[in-house]
Amino acid sequence: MIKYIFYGLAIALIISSGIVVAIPSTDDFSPNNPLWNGLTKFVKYYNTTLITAVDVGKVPKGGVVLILGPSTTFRDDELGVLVDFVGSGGTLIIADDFGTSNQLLSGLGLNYSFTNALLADDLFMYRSPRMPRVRAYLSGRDYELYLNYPTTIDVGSLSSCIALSSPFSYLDLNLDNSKGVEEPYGPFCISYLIKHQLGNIILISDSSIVINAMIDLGGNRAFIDDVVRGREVYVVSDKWVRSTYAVVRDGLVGVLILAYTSNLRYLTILITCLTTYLGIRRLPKAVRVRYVDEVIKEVLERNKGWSLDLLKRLARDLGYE
Amino acid sequence: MTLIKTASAVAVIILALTAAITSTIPRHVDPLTVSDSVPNPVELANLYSIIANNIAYLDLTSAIGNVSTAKNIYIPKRFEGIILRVNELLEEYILSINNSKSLIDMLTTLVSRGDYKSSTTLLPEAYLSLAEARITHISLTKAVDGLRVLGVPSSEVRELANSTGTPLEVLGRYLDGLRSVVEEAISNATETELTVWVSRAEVSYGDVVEVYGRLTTTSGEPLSNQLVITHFGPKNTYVITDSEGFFKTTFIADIYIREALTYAEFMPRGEGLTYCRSNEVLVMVDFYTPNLRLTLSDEKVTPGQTTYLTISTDTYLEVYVSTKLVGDLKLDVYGEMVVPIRIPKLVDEGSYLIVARSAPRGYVGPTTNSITLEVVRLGPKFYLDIPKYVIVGFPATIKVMSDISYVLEAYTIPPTQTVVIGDEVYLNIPLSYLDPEISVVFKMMPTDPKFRSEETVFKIPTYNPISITTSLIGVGLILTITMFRGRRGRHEVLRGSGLEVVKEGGGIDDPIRKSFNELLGILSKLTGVLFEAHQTFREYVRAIEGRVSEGVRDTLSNYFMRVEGVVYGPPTTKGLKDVLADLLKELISWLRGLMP
Repeated sequence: MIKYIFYGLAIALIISSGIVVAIPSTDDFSPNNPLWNGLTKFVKYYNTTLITAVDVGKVPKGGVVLILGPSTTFRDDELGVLVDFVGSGGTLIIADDFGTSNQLLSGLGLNYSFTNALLADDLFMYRSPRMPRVRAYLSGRDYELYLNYPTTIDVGSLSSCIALSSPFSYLDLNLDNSKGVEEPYGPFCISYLIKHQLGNIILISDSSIVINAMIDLGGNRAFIDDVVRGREVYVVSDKWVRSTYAVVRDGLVGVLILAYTSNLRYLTILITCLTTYLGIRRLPKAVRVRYVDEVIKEVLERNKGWSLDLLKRLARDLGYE
Repeated sequence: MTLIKTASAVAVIILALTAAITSTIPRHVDPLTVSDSVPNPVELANLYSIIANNIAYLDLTSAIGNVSTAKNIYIPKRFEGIILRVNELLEEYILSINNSKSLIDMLTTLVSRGDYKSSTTLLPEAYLSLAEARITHISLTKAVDGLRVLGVPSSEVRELANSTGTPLEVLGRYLDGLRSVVEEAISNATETELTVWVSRAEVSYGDVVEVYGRLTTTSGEPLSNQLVITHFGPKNTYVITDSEGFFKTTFIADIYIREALTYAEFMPRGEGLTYCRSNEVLVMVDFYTPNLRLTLSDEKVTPGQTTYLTISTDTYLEVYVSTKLVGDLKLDVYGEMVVPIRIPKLVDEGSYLIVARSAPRGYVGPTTNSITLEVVRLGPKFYLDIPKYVIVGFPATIKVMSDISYVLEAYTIPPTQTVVIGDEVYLNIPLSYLDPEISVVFKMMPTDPKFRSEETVFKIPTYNPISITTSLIGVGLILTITMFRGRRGRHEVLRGSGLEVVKEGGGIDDPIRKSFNELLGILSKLTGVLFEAHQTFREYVRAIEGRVSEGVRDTLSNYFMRVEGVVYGPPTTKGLKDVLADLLKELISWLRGLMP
């Protein structure tokens, strides 16, 4: 009985693991998430590499690093690495709509912040006032960006903004989906470019323009193409709070990738083949065991005087057990 | 039954695990799940009010701009037609108001000039344009009414219709006023006539041209003391008519225009006279257009290189040369002049225009010419000596060779320790690196500006010695274990059988052992196959298949089964050893009979 429970647990674990590996995570910004809120399209279009914040120091000069809606704070050493990266010619894009990266902005010595107020537009929108459309101007070209629950950037003067909302946009401060008397009208700054030594920092007050559902809308992709300009793109992936499912899945997938595509594959493939071979050998034997029991039973019925123990030994001698 | 139990256990465990693992709530909204919102009617009304105000104040440029903005409003598909039509009609209406306004402005100019004849021709056109605008406005009023479907209040809709109609009234009243002026003027004013002629129809540059003319009424009566404007090409001057209506003026033909249009205009200031314009006379002005030729020693150059611009003229010229590459130059050229143009080192690749203009000098007129210079960078040749593979944990060297001087940068993806010294790249991939390959990016930046920078990526297979060694050890262990188990396995089979007692002879009686040994000897002679110690009877029978006839094999098999039957079967009265001894003797006797 215990044996059956053990077998059941083992098979269930293998099947569950298989299901977990096959079904991607549904986390926001997950690079493996093909659903509307994932980043599979962005990763595919720009051949993106995921790195940790501290590894930004290893990104080659002139690369592009994207920080998307960070949920955790940045340490001093990480801030130092980011400042050096930009100073030596890199481009740092910070896209945030919850204001969680304001700690990063002040750590970088910037006097700007994301307001964390929800921007709405009752006229220039896409399907909903909370998905406003804004105009962006970069490198002498004009883009129409489609946003998804964005915020705004608090800057001194709108004249240096590279994207602005329409004059009909407003900040829905009380989140009642309508313009109140005390709620200010636009235009508001949506994207801002800061030159720092040899590099640039680009602030975007909506992290959603790169998700699968939004990247192909309007001029979102063309705008990102203009910012990236064919350079290597890296996404900082260790500042999101991941779900348990994502952690478990990434662990399993990581183990599989390590086992079957890395230099460990030689040993792993060997063990897999051996396990499979032994499994195949044991299976007919298990079938044969059941068959031999029935044969012994029949022999005993025909030869009532024969010894059961001896017949079992004979069966063992013949390799049926 | 067992299978059912296992399957149930599996199902329960999977369900339990599934319930335990849940995903988090995302922070965005899937656009496809969002229901289509209509634009806020208040904001919509605001936007169209702005447009209506623009129209009302005849700020038609802003009005058109705001209509373009209104085209970007998001409208659910079911209401798209309404806004599309409103915007379309607004544009049409603005354009027709603009047209009417332009015509009215022209009329105003003509009337102020006293040109009532032309005004009379233009008046019907202006009225027609206004009528068309009025028709468009009627359609617009109906279309704007459709905004009520989108929630815009009726009062706002009415206000929009009224505001947009304001220019029609304003322009209509103004036009009526102009018409009155023109009609009155025509009924009361005297028509005039103007004639001009010139002293010479062909002149050289710098010559004096005399222009004569006479101003009269259409009935021939001279008009004296009237101000007439005479034109000679782009130049003009004012002159007063004498008592007979004649006038004369002179111009110096110091213009570089081959055909100077000469005519006169009379613009009355009240006095009941009409505007008139004289006949036109073409005066040919002769001047010399010099030759200016440009050639380059090299029309395709690299940065840092110098090319020579040769400027050839057939007369002395003051030449201004301008180009983005070297700025502007002022040169005095007579015959041929060679100017070096040094291409800056940091200039971008592309085509650059060099324009040369000559300043006019009296009879010698101006001329211009241009030539295109192409700046290109050469592709450098690099040779990379890359290893076929890299063993991680051990340094690897990549040599870069080129016949030009360059600065080299290199890095790996993913990043690992990479050192560039001179023209060599040293890779030190750590032992913890398990990926099967690594990408190495090389950036070669030639110091000579005539070459462009190159970036190239190579993928090099990597092998991890620890992983490979562990695999080999694993293979060896598995093989060893498998072989060892095989021997033990057989031995265990043998140990479990009572035949071991017969074969191995641990404590056995000599007669049976002697008979058995004899049996083994006969069998090996007869069949040619040795009965091995580890073999069972069945295995031996299988081993001799093909070496003896079927009948012999079957008989032998039966004898072996009878031996087994004795050993494993129920006890006999005669005793196991005696029965066994008899059976062995019988078998040996039969086998001897088979031997030649």
